[in-house]
Amino acid sequence: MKNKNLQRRHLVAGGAATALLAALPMTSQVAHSGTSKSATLKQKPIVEGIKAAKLPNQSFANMVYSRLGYGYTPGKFDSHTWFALSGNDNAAKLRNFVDQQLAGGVDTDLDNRIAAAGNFETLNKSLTQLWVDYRIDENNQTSSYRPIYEMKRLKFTRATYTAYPLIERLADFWHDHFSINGDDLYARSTMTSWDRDVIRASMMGNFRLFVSRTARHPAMLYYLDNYNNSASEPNENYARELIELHTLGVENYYGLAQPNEVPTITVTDRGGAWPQDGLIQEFYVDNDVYEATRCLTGWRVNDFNSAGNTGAFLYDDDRHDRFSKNVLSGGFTNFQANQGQADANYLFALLTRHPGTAKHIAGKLARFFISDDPPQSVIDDVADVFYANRYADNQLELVYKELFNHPDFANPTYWQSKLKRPFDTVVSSMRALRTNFTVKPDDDNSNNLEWRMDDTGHYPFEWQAPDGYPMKSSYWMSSTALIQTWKTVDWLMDRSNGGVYLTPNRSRMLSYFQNRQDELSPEGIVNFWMWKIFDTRPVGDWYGDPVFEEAVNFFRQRPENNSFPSWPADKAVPFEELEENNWPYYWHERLRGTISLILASPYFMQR
Amino acid sequence: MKNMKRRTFLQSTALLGALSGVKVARAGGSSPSNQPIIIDLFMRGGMDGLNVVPPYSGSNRTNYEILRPNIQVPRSGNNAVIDIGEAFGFHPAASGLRDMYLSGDLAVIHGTGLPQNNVTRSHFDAMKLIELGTPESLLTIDGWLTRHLNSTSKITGAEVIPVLVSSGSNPISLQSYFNALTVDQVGGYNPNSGRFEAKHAEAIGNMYGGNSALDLSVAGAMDTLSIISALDLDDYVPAGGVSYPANSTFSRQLSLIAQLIREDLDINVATADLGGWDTHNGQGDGGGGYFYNKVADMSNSINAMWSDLKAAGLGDQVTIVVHSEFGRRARQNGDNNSGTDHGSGNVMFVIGGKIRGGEMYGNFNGLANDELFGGEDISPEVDFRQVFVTIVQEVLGNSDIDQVFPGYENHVSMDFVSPDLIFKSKFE
Repeated sequence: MKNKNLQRRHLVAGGAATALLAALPMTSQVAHSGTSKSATLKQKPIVEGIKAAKLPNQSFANMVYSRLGYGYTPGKFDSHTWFALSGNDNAAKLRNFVDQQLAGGVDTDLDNRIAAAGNFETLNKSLTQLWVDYRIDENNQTSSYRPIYEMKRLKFTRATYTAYPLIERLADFWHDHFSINGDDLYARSTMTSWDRDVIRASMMGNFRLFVSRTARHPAMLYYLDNYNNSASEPNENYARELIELHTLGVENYYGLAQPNEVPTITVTDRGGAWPQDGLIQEFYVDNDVYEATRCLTGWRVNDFNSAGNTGAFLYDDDRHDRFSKNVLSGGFTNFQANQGQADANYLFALLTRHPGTAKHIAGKLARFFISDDPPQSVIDDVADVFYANRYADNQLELVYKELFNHPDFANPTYWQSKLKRPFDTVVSSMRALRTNFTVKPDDDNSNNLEWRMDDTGHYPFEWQAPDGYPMKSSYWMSSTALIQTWKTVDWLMDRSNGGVYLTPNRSRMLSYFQNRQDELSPEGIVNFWMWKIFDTRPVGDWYGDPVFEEAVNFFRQRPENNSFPSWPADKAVPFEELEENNWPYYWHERLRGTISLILASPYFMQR
Repeated sequence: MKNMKRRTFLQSTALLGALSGVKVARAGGSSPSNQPIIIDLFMRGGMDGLNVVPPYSGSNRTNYEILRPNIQVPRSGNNAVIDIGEAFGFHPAASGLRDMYLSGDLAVIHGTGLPQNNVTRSHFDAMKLIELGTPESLLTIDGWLTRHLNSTSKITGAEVIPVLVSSGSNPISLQSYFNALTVDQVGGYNPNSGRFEAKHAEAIGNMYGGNSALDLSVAGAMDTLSIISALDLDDYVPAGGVSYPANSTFSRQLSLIAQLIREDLDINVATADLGGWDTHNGQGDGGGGYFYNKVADMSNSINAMWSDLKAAGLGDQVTIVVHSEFGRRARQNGDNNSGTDHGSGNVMFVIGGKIRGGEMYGNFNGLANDELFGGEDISPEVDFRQVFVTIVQEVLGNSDIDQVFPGYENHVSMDFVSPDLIFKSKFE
């Protein structure tokens, strides 16, 4: 056979992992080569970042609410609530805001909505109850999809009405990080537990514990096939994604090289699978995936009657590969024989406390919350905190605080440099416009929203592959995602049931102009809505602003049959007519289109 | 409509729409433009090519049955491998591929993949390396199709839609290309439908007037909108009485590709994806099961699109490439209900009127232990770029290979392109 001897592999990620962390034990300086030929490329990037027109003079408060939540929310997250935060300057207020958000607490509005919906039936059920009611379902009374069905809808209601939107953003991040296809066989019946007992219960705590919980949940065991991984029939699906996606990341992949060919680093961790001299591989190779697969053999779901069929994690020593193993150890044994389930626990410790994992998670968080191309300084600093606190019970909470209070987070260079994903655009529209819409089971409007969101490609928990919905802005710039998102927002602005609008735009506007009807011109109306959507009213109003001018021109355009003129920009529209949608101007449709247009502007789409 | 520029097209149809409200109906059978068209179909998740085109006889068959006692495609029984009188046959669900092969339109290329020094078992890296067209770098800023479009002399700027992506999002092969029409459905495609929709779309376009990626993407989206609304795309009738498989997203996407190509909008490149090939578990026994259904979806949908385009007289213009990010391991990973883990070498299919189909190309190194790559995989003997470059040079007529695949050297034609169309339908 040709090329029988594998040549030395290089880090396929090229330069992505080359920057060294000062406080991390990354001592190796080997070249991560393989990029030289690409230097001959003639093409240049057209742009860096997305950089469509930014909201002028965005306030610090608006920036924080937009990036650490779902944006400006009148009365809840606006310039007044920011001002009311304790602290002498924005940095101090930010620190307090982050502390409050991460601490969580009573969530009255949200709880009331869930209670009022009355048909979220899975929320208080334990994993075993969910398993019995929806997976086993002996009397065939329920749908196995009920839990995932509720969780998909609850995600909108939570994000729109919670007092702790940062928690929802973090849950969104981790659901993508440990992505499972929500419609998968075991996931769909246990999703309520996955969200509550794994993601939310772990995301402020220690990362090792977090990974361990994801690994033991039936949803993950089934989705990545680890329930079917045994000494005689090893299945490497989970072990590979555990290393490539959940912990070290593909940026630390050294390909098909042999373990003893990989550069090493020295760490201080001892015990478990840590070598006595602390010398471990800096990167992983395929052999580490195979050996990790062996560590995880015997892992199953209690899904058969003789064991009780509870849906719980079950370890089956008869299926476990009991021989010694080596992971990240340069080929030397670091898992002794006959350790049983401890193999997996040592493996999680090894992977989650490896310096490469700190860097991988830090980079991903920075790309999610700051920019697709964040400065290396914030990645390094966050990775340092992640690594230094790898044994702390509140490791991740400390990581978030470092990230959100970092000078690079506050640096205006990186504001509005990410495109909102469709879910986020829709939720932030509902928040800014005070939409009154509890997305819930068995509800026509919610069904309608579901199929519209399906078309955007971002209906929750439906990503098939284990890498989660993309967080990179460019992915969401396709015509399909953009147009279907705007179409969904437009529907939210337009939808009424028996004359009661989900989004009370017209009544809200008319109550403001009730006693100033002479100001109800196209310009007055657009100034009002830009003020209400962006929480700022510039000195001299928005005249001359390109988004303003487009919206005014849209609102005052000629009726389609051309028998009437376009409405003068500064002439008041009769108050009574704005309450109707009559020929020839159809003012309601104009109003809906104008608000949708402002929400489709780059000022609103970028965060 | 031939050679009408995109802007002209949009302006004329927008004007027409605004004045009369009448949709522009394309005259059926209008003479198609003559640009070559490549349709790139990505099987995402790692298609198990060894079971799509399994060994039928000889030592490869013997070894195949040893390596895959439970998930092999059997020689006999209900789901027997389709015998075509060669050393390899087709999966029983791949009768569509078999038909194209026997009619001389489909070439099978064995042993393709990333260069051996760049093999990765990560789905996500493997896809990127292939789509960027630079197997040594993940940092390349544009996709290989983008570089082809930027360097080919066949693109004149006169096209209405040079690139069609029949999906929700653009593939990495088109990274840094902003002029694609990306659409996965044509009904109700409007951000503000109703009597003010045209002005609304125009206003959105005006708000994104800059030169950033987002500005350019929105401009492309607004063009998409105008084109979709200008065309009468309801009730598509495929040529030649072809019927596309029902209840298949992939089939719908391919039908849309054929439909828009037949609209004669000067499409040069079209792409679509079929996911769900990551068969670590429950791949299927005795030739049936999950994998069977996946192969049937692929094979029947592609056959329908090809037959449609061929019957419409576009066979000589169209070349379809079918590939995945990697193959799977030669050995099954368990006994009953098992599957296969990530491997490297795989088959590719190339289909078209200019392709010398009905033959197998490439290099199948064998299934004996010492023939497998690293003792595990079908050996990737053929650099995937060798397949693409053969197409880019000999079918698409773009000789600027340094630009399209920088760093790729010592190309040798794979010789699956017919030097003379007279010989294209020859049989062995």
